[in-house]
Amino acid sequence: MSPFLAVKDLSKSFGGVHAVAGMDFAVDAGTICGIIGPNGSGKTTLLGLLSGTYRPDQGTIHLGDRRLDRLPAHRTVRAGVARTFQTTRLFARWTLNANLAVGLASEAPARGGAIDALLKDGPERLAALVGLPGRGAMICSALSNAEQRLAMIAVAVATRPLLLLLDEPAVGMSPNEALGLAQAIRRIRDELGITVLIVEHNMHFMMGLADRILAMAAGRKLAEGTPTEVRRNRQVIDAYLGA
Amino acid sequence: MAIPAPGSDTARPLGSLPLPARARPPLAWLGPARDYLGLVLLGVVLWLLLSRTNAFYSSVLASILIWTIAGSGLNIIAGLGGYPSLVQGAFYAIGAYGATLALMHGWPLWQACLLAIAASAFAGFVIGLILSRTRGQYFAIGTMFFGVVVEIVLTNWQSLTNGQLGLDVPLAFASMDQLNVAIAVTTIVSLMLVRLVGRRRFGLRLMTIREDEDLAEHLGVPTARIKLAGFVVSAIFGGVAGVLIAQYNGTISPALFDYYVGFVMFVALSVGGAGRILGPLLGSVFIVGLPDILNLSSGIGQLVVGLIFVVVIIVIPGGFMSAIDGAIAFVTKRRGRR
Repeated sequence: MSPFLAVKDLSKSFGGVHAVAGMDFAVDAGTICGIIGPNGSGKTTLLGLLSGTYRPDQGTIHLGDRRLDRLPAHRTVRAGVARTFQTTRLFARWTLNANLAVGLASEAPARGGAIDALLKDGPERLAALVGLPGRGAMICSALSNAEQRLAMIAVAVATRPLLLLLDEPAVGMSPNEALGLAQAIRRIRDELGITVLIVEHNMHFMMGLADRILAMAAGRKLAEGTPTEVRRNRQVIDAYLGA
Repeated sequence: MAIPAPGSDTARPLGSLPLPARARPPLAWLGPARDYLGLVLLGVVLWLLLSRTNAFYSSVLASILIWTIAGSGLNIIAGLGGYPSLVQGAFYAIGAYGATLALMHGWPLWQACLLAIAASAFAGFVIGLILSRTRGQYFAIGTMFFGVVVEIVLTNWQSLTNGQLGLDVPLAFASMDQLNVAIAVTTIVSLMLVRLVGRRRFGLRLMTIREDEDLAEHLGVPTARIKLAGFVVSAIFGGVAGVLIAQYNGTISPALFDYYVGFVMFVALSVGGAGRILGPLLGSVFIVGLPDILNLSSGIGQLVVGLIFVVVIIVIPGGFMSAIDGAIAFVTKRRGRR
């Protein structure tokens, strides 16, 4: 059986900058995988490649048997990959339910799992699952920063993905709010069976949440393993401390 | 640019969803039928005005309504989709010349209409494809360019269009009454179609493009295809309006389809209220009707139009429709307090 997500020799340059240079990795179904790395190490570009925002210069991305690397973003969504953004992006003048309705209308095929059951009766239960119960009728711009971050995740989940990509979900959150976020991410994995890939600066947040961690530097994979292994890795420490 | 205010009627995605804070509209119990019934009534009133007022007022109203048809098309790509198209006048021209040439070759009216629709849709498709990678002001400039191109072609393709002298239009309606009915019915059908599209998934998707195109793409909206479809649909409305203006005028010439027409159509939509069903109608009243009724010479008329545009954009960016909303909200609030 092919792995859930398989990335081979993935590269992307912008002008002369090799943002992602020959990444190889795989992610198992049902895991929460973290990607860490210093600024400019190519994390967000990698996420953009996985979500169809950018087209890779070389390399392949497979989700199961499905090849993703030549698909435009909206087809990638249909294939089962949803993403959020580093800066909050919502249809800010619309209600949360209206935002969720856009995700629900994504044409993704029924997955036959918990996600279909959850969304059967409309978006309310999804909003509750991420920690926004009863917020459906609110205009998104009236939500707090942390709520907007959660709303963005809910909207992505409404497209019924198999793989959810989160780009620095904890940005601007207080430690307490980050706990709520971690809980929401766990519930998305546990209750909906969605595999989650998180790019995050906040090491502490990742250590408690991720099953596996991938460390990047200069567009390459530096280390991979359990959070504890990665934290002890000499190269990772050097990359972070610039030693 | 003046893109609709939140909570405006077509900007409300999916009718069944909880609405943003907004007063419950009158006769809400009628459901969706309310809007359509209202539009039918409006159509009857417009037809009565067209057929019962004197020739001058009737002709002013006819131009307003024909512009409303073209503007309703613009409302789909610019109002719902947020793409400021300045080329609607070109589709208007293509519809007028297409139908007129077909009639001159002895085609029946319905075939001439189909040709006008096909020609404007094709032009929309080609222009839409060429401009598919442009947004915002670049899209606006690109569309304006095509408006100029169409005007130049009409002026210089002597053998087909008879150049500056224009063409005499073979009249296909038996009487003025019939033409008036056709104008009133087409206007109302156009308004209804915008109402319909605004509540369908197609309309929702156009609105997601207006709000944030990149986000829409990442939520599974095939943005390129939706934009192109929206542009083609807009062009068809323009073409149909062109058929009617040719029939109404009796003659057509490039002077009637200056590239500036497309710009003024956009102005009319913005002044009336982009993304609002009645926006094009209200906008046309002020932009087409007012200069005509005041009998302003064309230069002064343009000045007045420009002035209205600037003032509206500064004072009520959502157009007159949003001002009406504001007034209704103000009145109902005061009544509620009593």
